[in-house]
Amino acid sequence: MSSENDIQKEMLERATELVQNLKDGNSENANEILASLIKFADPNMFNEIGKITRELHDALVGFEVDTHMTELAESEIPDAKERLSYVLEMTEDAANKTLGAVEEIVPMCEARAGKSQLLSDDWEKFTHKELSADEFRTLAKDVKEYFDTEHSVFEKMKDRLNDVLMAQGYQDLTGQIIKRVISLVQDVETNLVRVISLTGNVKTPRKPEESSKPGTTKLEGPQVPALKTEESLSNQDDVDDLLSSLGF
Amino acid sequence: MKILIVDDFSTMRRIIKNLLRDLGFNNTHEADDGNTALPILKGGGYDFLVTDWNMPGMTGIDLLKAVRVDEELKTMPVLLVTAESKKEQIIMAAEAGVNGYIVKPFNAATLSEKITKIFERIDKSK
Repeated sequence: MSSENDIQKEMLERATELVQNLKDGNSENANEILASLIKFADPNMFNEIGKITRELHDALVGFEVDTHMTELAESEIPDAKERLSYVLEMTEDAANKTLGAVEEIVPMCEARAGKSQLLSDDWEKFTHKELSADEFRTLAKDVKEYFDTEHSVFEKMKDRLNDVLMAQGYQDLTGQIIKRVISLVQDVETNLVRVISLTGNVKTPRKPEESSKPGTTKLEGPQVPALKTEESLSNQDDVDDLLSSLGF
Repeated sequence: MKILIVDDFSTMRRIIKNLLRDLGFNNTHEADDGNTALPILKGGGYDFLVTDWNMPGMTGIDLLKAVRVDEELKTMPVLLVTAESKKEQIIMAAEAGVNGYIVKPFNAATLSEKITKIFERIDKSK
């Protein structure tokens, strides 16, 4: 209690000095006294100001997180859904192309294997002189027919196998799309942790890493039909046209 | 002709390797990004480079630029085979000195056509 009285006494003395200095027109001293009086103010006030400043800062950071979350929810997640649907479509298409080719090739192989077995059996008989003249004529006809069709059958099989080869391109394209979606999921996770850290006492995580280095062009990756922009060219012909307009 | 195929996806490298073999190019080698490709190219003996654009480490466009500033490699024909199809990127590739640009997904005929064109143009300019 006595210390409070001491403080009041000191404040009164300083205040009297302040009035006197003001009356004397000694503004420099008056300012000094005024500044010294401020320290008598409630120290809690400074704590409160500190708290408000921190809250304001947190609110601003929270606003940034909110904006990013809105962006994620409004555009990037629906985009991710389109991308994943396209992945489904591409994998299905590749599987169908591969299965279709196999379904065509297997019977061709079976037919050729059966035919060559028959010819081989007859040839065996011929070398053992077990074929009649008529049977030999039939064998000669069959061999000719076999060779005549052989070329086109193998060409057809090669074409179908080429389709299987090209169909595997889906792995690269869907892989690129899936990598993007994984990075989006990581982004959502980081932002959710930040939101939680603002509302609770969780340690603030590191800021999400930028997906591309500064100064580099942002790559778009494989084109997803549902997300096509005007900036993207839709096929090889458009690319060729653009390049020829550039003198290619 | 010795060809280097650069793509981070091994499936795509195999597809291109098989298509090139079908076109009669049997001497093909592989790398999975620009950083591994560049020392291989500098090792010498390569006549043609087929590269993807979007790869971790060094991208295809940076590899192309590195090839164009290298005294030994600067005249090497480079074909980009990529999923990137934005106008801006195609223009950037053209400015960097690409010889051909194929958008994925592509087919065997397109690859054959572009390679033929590239070598026709090189023969004409000789």
